Amino acid sequence: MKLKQHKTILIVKPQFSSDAKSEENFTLLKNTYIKHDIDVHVIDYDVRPSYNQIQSQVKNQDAVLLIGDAKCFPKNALKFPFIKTMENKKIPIAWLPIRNSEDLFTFSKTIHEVHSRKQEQCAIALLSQKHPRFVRIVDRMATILETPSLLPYKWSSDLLFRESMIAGLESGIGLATYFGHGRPIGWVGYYGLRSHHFENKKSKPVGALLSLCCKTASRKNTKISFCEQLVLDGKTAVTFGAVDSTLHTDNTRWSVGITKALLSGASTIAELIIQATPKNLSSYTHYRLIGDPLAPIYSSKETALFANTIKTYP
Amino acid sequence: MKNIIINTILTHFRDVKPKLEIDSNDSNFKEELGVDSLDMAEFVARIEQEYRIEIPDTDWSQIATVNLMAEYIHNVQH
Repeated sequence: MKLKQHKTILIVKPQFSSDAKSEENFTLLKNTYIKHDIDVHVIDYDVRPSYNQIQSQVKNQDAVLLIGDAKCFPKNALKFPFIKTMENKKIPIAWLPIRNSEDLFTFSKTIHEVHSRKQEQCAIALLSQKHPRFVRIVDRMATILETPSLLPYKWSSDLLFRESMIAGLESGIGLATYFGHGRPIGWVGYYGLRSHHFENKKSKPVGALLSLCCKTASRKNTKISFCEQLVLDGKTAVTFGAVDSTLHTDNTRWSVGITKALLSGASTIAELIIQATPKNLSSYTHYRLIGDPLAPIYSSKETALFANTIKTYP
Repeated sequence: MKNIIINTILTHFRDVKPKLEIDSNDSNFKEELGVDSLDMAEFVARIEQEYRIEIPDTDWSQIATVNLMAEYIHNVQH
């Protein structure tokens, strides 16, 4: 069981002066964070600030969330998935695209669900496309993470049906990682996974979903990317995806970093991303965080019990 | 100092390829030990994490053996 620590988030948001509903839903989001022991500092803007301008405003917060018009692409909204504080400490920075006031409401609801559930176990869904090079990463991670404090579930595309994998995720699992090919509209694995495949209206959101593949946060030929859509639909509190092509060697670096961070006790997406980031620029320059940068990656015992029932075909 | 680096490299190598024995620290990972590119990717990533260094993919030819890798790490650190 993980104890919650007091955190502070800096939210950079547009002025909703003529939109009372958005302002109301933003207050709801702010209060949701406060309720879960997270202090909120807010900066309002007329013109969306650049990454460097935000950096000059960051003091000693633990994470930054930039909220903005969904017309802006994740690639242009932020430069990296993290930013440096005045004390030169790396903290995560996430993007939240909003199309209307409803998006803020849905996001607040997801944040509330994820932060208020019992953080008893670190259940990790290890997902991959059915291809030797990706299955191998999942195999290695599963072997290394098989420790008393962690519960890895190997759900690569060669072992189970898409519906079973989605049922597992929708039980409210804390963390999921995917390795394979990706497109702006979804994953190549699981016979082509799209956001509309998460159709259960009563599902519990995933804590954090890491899409370690090409382009799932890219807007190329799509109105909204796969990673953004899942957050806007309330299917996960946060996603981590690429706005461009990525290299398999770099994603392998991420797998090693993530494994190490989990073994050393990372319990939120913030801790996980900061500890797992590889040194080389090409590994992180294309990745963006979308959603809640402080989302917990632990889940309840019931979720783990349900995950145990997911049928795989080795 | 270099011996410590070599021991660390060997520890990580054994984690990645537990069934493989290294007879000589000059054995070529790919040609003599049969380490494929996927294992090599994990091995390099582990070394990068351990030493918090960056080994660009273009430098992989310079780290083809345990000794060469130790030399490389030593040079990057100093």
